[in-house]
Amino acid sequence: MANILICDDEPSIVKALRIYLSSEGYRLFEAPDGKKALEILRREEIHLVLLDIMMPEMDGISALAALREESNVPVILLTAKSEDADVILGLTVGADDYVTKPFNPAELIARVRSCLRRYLQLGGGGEREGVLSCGGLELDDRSKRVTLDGTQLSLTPTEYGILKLLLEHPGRVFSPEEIYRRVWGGDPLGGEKTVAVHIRNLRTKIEIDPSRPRMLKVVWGQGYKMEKEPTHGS
Amino acid sequence: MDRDQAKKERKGYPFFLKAAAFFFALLFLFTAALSALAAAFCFAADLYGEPSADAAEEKLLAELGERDLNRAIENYLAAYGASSVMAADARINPRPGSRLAYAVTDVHGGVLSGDLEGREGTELARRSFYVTLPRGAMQTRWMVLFLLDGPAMLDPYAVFGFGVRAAYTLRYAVYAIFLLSLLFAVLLHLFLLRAAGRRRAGGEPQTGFWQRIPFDLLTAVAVLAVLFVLYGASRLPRNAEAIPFPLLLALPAVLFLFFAALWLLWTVDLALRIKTHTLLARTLLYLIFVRGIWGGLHAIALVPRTVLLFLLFSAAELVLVWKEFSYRSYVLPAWFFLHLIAFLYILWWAVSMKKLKQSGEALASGDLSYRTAVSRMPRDLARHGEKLNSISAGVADAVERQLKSERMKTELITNVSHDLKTPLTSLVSYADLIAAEPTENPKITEYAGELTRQSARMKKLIEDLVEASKASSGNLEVVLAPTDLSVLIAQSAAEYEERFAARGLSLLVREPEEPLSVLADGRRLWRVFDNLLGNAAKHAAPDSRVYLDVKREENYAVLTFKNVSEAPLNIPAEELTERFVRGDSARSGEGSGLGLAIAKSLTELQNGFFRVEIDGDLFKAVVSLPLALYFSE
Repeated sequence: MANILICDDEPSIVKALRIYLSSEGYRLFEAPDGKKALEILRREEIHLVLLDIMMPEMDGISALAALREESNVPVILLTAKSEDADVILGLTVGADDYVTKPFNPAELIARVRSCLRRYLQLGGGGEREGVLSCGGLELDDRSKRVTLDGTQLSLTPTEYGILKLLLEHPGRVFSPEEIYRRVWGGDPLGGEKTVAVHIRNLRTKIEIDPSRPRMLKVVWGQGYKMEKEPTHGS
Repeated sequence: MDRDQAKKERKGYPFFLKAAAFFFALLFLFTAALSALAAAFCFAADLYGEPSADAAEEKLLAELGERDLNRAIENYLAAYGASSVMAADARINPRPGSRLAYAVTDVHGGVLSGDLEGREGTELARRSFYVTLPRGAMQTRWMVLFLLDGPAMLDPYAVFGFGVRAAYTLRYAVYAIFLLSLLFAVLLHLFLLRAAGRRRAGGEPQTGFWQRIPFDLLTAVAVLAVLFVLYGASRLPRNAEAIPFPLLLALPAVLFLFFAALWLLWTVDLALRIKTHTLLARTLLYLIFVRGIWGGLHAIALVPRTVLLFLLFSAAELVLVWKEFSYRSYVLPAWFFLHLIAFLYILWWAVSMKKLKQSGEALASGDLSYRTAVSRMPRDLARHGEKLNSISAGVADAVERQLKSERMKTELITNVSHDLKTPLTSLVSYADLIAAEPTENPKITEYAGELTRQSARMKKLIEDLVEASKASSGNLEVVLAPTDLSVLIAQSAAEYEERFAARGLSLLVREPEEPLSVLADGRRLWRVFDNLLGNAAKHAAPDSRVYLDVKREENYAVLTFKNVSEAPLNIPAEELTERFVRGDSARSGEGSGLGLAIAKSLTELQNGFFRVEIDGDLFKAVVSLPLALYFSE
């Protein structure tokens, strides 16, 4: 099983995380600050780091910066600092994901799993012909299959059409009218409602936490888009 | 009543009212003038001594007749003396259309000449006189005045007689008439002055076309008109004979009315200008000297203007005393030298003042880092410059401190929220772990569930707190862009579909035909809808309808959220949007009481308006947002 490094200065949180993650079968390492974390990283083979930001000695961001000079192990920042500025900073310095406290334990575990899957599949993974992907989500147009971290999803043809459209143009915002025109064909005339409902259903299926989507984002007042890579849910 | 109320209650005076007043003012002035003339006439003709109207008429007519006859005789003699008798046939009374005619007869009554021309008439008066015949002999002749038959209007004597009778009848009343007419005329004049410029009720007096003409120009033209007319009138007597009698009577009246009307109009114009404070500004003198010359001067920059003025003064001085220079040879160079020194000194001051002016402008426009270079200024100005610099520094300092204080406030709340979230995380995690433990004791599951719920509530409360603080202090980043309302509404409706369905609520959206695009921040606006729809989801009566009406009002899009509350709403609307106030029903549920306060702050941050109305059980939230008008799709 994978090795996970938990780095946080709050003993009760570390303990809780330990209980959750060890019940999933991961092997755990713990560090109360950035310096010790780096030491452990150099000694052991770690597959994932759960990193807090506010710590004594060396805080999470500096530790992350130092870490990234040597390794590209996936790092999930787990912190109470939830301002947009903090998120952007963390992700820019090199984190793969950002979870704010207090967190939903189930969601955290799902993210850990997803991150590990991608990291450990790196060798066998990579761009394949005709496959559109975003994070762990893959859409194979030839076989009309959609998988999330390897598990196949069952989508309605409309949902498949919308997902494909958005995956083909990652990062681009589509208005509901445009989506309607392209997927249903014909004039929208009040189709915004229909599109909105389908998007919601789609989100429920592909997102870990549909109310905080990381891939299929709502651009309020304009439309929807698919991120190139899963980002922090907002 | 206070001034504003007084202003509103000022009446407006429609044009016809003012025209009527004008007409009657003229009428009364005319009457006053007439009665004054009549009074003068009564005195001059001593009507008070006459026993009756008939007596007065007779006497005056006789005087008039005598005068006329004398004049006729003079004319006849002049014509007779100038040449032969034939010329004496010339018309003695050339006034056309008059009913008077003269005849010259000899002692026996034989008509020698005149303008009777065979017409019928009654003799009015006669007078004898002498002519000197060509060989020196004197002959007696009679000048006879006849009144021809015809309309009374052409008869000066009848008119005069009528006038005398009238004057006599009114010889005492005339004074009363004069005073009354004058009084009314003055009152109407005052009314016109007061009503000048007021056409509508409750407003300030307004100027019109005539007030745009410079006042001195207008006055000059009026005076010229009067003089011209008077001059023309003064030239008439020479041709007095040729003018038909009625016209001769009417002429002075017309002139009087003309002058009276001019006077009224001029005073009204003056009054209006004074009332609207436009008297001085709209005269030629002002325009030329103040706006033209003074304004033109000030359009030139400070330093060149100073140089120009100094040179002009020096040149004027030179011109004035040029003559004196030629007597003493040293005066001119001395003058020149002194003026040069003065010039340099003044120039130095002008340049320094320009620098100060620039500093003042920089300070006023907000450039707090601008500092005046005071090193090479005259001492007095240098001190002024230093004071300006210290003001700049002081203001910059104060602004810096204020900004810092604002930043610290937000940082404080954000830091506190971080610190609160850490123990909260443990609460959530352990509550979850307890709930996950297999147990037969249902109480454990129940208590764990309660812990989870309350922790979730606390989390929401902390988040709301930070958001409310940032939104109300304006520290929230808001990026305004054209946002399609129907898209946003559809997205929000989709988000709440399940929650609404769970309580049997249906959302009815009524939108206008044309799609409305508002200038807003999509994320923040979604938060507002989130709050309002969330409130509806939590507090609306089950199985009821939630309405969302969208309308365009001028430059705003107005959205109205309506729902019927499950529990009675007994808090006034304004209080609900205060922080931490919740309706009683909401006290037991989730929510922090900050929802409406946040929604209000967010709306206002996007230049919108937010208000809540409560009518019984009906809860209404009205959100107005500015339309994105200048962006095309």
